[in-house]
Amino acid sequence: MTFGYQPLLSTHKSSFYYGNQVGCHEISLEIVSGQFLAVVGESGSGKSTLLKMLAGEIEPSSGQITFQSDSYGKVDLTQLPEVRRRQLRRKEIGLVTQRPSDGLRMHISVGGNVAERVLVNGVRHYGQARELARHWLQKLELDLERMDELPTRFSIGMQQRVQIAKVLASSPRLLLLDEPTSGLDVSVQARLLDVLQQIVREQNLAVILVTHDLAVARMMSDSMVVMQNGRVVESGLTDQVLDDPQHAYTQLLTSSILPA
Amino acid sequence: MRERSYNFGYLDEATKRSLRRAILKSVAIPGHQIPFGSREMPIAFGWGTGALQINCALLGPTDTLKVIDQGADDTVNAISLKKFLHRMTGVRLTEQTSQASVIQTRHRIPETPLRAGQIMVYQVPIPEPLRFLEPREIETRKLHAYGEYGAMYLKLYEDLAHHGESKSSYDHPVTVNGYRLSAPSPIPKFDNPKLHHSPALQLFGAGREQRCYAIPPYTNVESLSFQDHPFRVQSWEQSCEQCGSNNSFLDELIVDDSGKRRFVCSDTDYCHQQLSKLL
Repeated sequence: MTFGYQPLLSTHKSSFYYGNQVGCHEISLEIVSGQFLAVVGESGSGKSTLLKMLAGEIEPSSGQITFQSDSYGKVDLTQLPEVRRRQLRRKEIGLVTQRPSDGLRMHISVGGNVAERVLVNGVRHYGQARELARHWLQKLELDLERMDELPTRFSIGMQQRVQIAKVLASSPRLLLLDEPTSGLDVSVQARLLDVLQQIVREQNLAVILVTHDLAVARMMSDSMVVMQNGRVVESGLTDQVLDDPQHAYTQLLTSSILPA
Repeated sequence: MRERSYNFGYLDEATKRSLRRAILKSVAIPGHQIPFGSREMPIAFGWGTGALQINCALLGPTDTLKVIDQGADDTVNAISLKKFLHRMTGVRLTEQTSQASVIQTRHRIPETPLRAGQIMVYQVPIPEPLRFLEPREIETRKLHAYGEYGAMYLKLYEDLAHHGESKSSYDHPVTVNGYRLSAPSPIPKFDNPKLHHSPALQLFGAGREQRCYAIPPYTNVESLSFQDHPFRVQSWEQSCEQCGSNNSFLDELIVDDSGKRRFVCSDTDYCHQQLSKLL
């Protein structure tokens, strides 16, 4: 057994085109359990397209995406029948969207939203589903007194925590975060990231975080890829990329951080 | 007497054939919604056009028809539909459940047990039980195809979390033949157990939505429930004020301006039967 080097997810020359427009072009990357990978780049650089592709929301135009699944072993997500791909998305791969309202049912209570992730994975016991919802809401530091309220009555920061609790409730192996903290004020953002980091360590999750915030990327991630125009222009350990950028675009990116 | 200026059963023969094909398909895949080319009928959508079209394709000269609305044979909707079908086919009409070969209904299954050979035709407003979860037809079809019914339990979850019990009093979703999730149309959940292993053929028609589906005789029908909160039907402390029945579905009627209430059987035929036994 090659300890620690068996990638949980790897892409090989994965591309996605919106018609003639490049979404992302020949992306190859690897991630192991416990690894926190940040994907940075400006708006329109293909970060979210990459994430959607990994989440199985869009089908790549070409290339492979290999995933080490608990239920099916090593599979190519692009070749997997849709029914299984959907099953992986319900359980082993968790996508957290930028806007909580995209990932939550806004007319269903907060507890129900988290419970849904348990119910869709086959639990048919109310007490059990509710207990799991309670557990994960508590983990994300949400008020259990309010678990039967609608998400619309929560602040965006709290909604985002609900969404994360929901995704984690199925004990996924891979967590995909699409700008989860954009639009939150700094202190809320810091607290959320703190909680997230703790859970990721506990659960030995692999995380891919898409962000344009280099400070967040530096604080959270072990490694980093930098994207521009749908291509990966630089990748490596986070500190290495940020402290000694090689590519002209990365240099521009790091130098455009406002001085403290 | 049958109106001779129209084809037997109002619809033309080709349309009736296409409807019968859809009905046969729906019987072959219990609970599965089959599309059919719904026609313009001389009543408005929402008044039972789906069931009416099924009946037009189904009725033969020797059939005996009963039509009920909310359990009653003598409401406006029931009488209008009955009159129309009688004019178009000349079939015999009855109010007695046991005499009917075909029963068109909205809301209720008769209290008198059905027998083999009878056909129930239900008027269905929304045939898709997953619609409240998922507005996209393409997605609901996938949910059916892959049997992804987990999220449906959310409705039950919400009721339990807010009220401590299931609050749906009608159209409580069922699993047909151990697999397919179906909406039993707006029948009260009191009637859900009657769907299970019914000796009669049960057909469901939704005219506006252009879908029909079926529960063949003696098919397993299970009401959706959690393991730790089994399905329960509603019950009444009162008994019927006319016939004294304490095991039928009761309507609560407000009878005067001071809010005085009476409870009577919603199934008028059943109520009359009980009354005649007393006399």
